[in-house]
Amino acid sequence: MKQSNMESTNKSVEETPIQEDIPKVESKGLVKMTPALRFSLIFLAAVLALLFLVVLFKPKTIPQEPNPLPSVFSIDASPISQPERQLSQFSQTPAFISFEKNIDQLRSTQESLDLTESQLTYPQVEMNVNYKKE
Amino acid sequence: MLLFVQHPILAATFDEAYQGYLSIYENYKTAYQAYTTTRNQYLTYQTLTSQNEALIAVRDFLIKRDAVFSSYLGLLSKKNTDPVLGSLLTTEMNFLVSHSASVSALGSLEDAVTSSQQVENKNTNWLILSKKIVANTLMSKINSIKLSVSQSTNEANTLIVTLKNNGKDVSVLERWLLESKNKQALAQQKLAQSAVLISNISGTNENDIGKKYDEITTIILEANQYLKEALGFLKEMSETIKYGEY
Repeated sequence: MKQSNMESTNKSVEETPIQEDIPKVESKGLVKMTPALRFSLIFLAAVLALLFLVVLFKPKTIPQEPNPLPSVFSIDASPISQPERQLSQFSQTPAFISFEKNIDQLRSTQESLDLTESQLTYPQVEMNVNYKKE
Repeated sequence: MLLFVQHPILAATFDEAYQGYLSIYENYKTAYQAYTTTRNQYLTYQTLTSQNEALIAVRDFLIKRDAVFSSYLGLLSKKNTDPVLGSLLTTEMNFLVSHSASVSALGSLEDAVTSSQQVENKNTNWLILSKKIVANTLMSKINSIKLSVSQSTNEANTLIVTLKNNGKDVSVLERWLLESKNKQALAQQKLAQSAVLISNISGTNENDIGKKYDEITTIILEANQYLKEALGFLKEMSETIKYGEY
C-alpha cells in the first residue's frame, strides 16, 4: 500500500514538467528522526525550560556585607559629640539673672496676650420698633 | 429695676460684671420673643386685647434692651482709662436710667415707637464709644508690653557697659541691642498712628465704623509684632552673654 502510494506520487511528478524545475528537497531530518533522537531533543528542551524557570524564579539573595574591618580600622559611628556650652561667669551675676528672667517672662506674657477682647463685642439687639405691616 | 440695670457696674470685678451682662442679655432675648409675638398678633387681629398685650410686651422689651446697653456700657467703664470717654459713659448710662424710668409710663404703641427711636438715635454714638474704648484697651496692653521691653533694654544696656568695662568685646551685643531698639521705635510709630486713628473714629453706620476699627486693630497688631521681634533680639543678646560668646 505504502509502496503503491510512492509509485503514484513519483508518477505524478514525472507527468508534471513544471514541477521538475523545483529542486527536490529531501526532508532528511524528518526521515532520520529516530525515536531516540526525538526523546533526546524533548529531554534537552525540558532541561532548558527547567533551567530557564530556575533562573527566573531564583530567590534574590541579599549581597553579603563585606566582612567588617578589624576594630582597629573601624570607624566610630556614634554622633560627633558637641562640646557642652559653658556658662560664662557673668551669667551668674544677679544683674544678668534678673535680666534673663524678665525677658523670659515678657516673652511668655506676650505669647498669651488676648488681643480679641471678645467680651466687649457690641451687643446685637433689635433697634427698630414699629407696628407697620411689612 | 434701677438696681437691676446697674448691677454690672456695681460688680466687684470685670468677670462678675460680664456674667451679669450675659444674664441680662438672656432676659432681653426672652423679652424680644414676646415683643415679636405680640406685635404679629396685633398686626393680624387688630383687637384691643392684642394691642394691650403688645404694649405690655414692648414696654418690657424696651426696658430689657436698655438694661443690655446699660450693662454693656458698665463693662466698657471697667476697661476704660480715658477720663473723657469715662465722662461720656456716665452721661450715656444716666440717659438709659431715665429712659428706662420713662418706659413704664408709656400709654400707647406710638409712644413706644417714639421711645425706642430715642435709644436708636444713640446707637451710632455708643458704637463709636465702644470701638474707641476697646481699641484703647488693646493699645494699652501693647503699651504695657512696650514699657517692659524698654525697661529690659535699659537693663541690657547696663550689662553691656559692665562687660565693656571688664575689657570684653561687646560689639555683637551692641548690634543686638541696636536692632532691638530699632524695632521698638517702629512699634512706637505704629502705636502713635493708632492713637490718632482711635481719637478720630467716626461714621454714620456700623460698616464705616467697623472698617475704621479694623484698620486700627491691624496697626496695633503690627506694633505687637515689632515688639516681639525686639524681644527676640534681647533674647539673642541674653543667650550670647549667658555662654560668653562675645
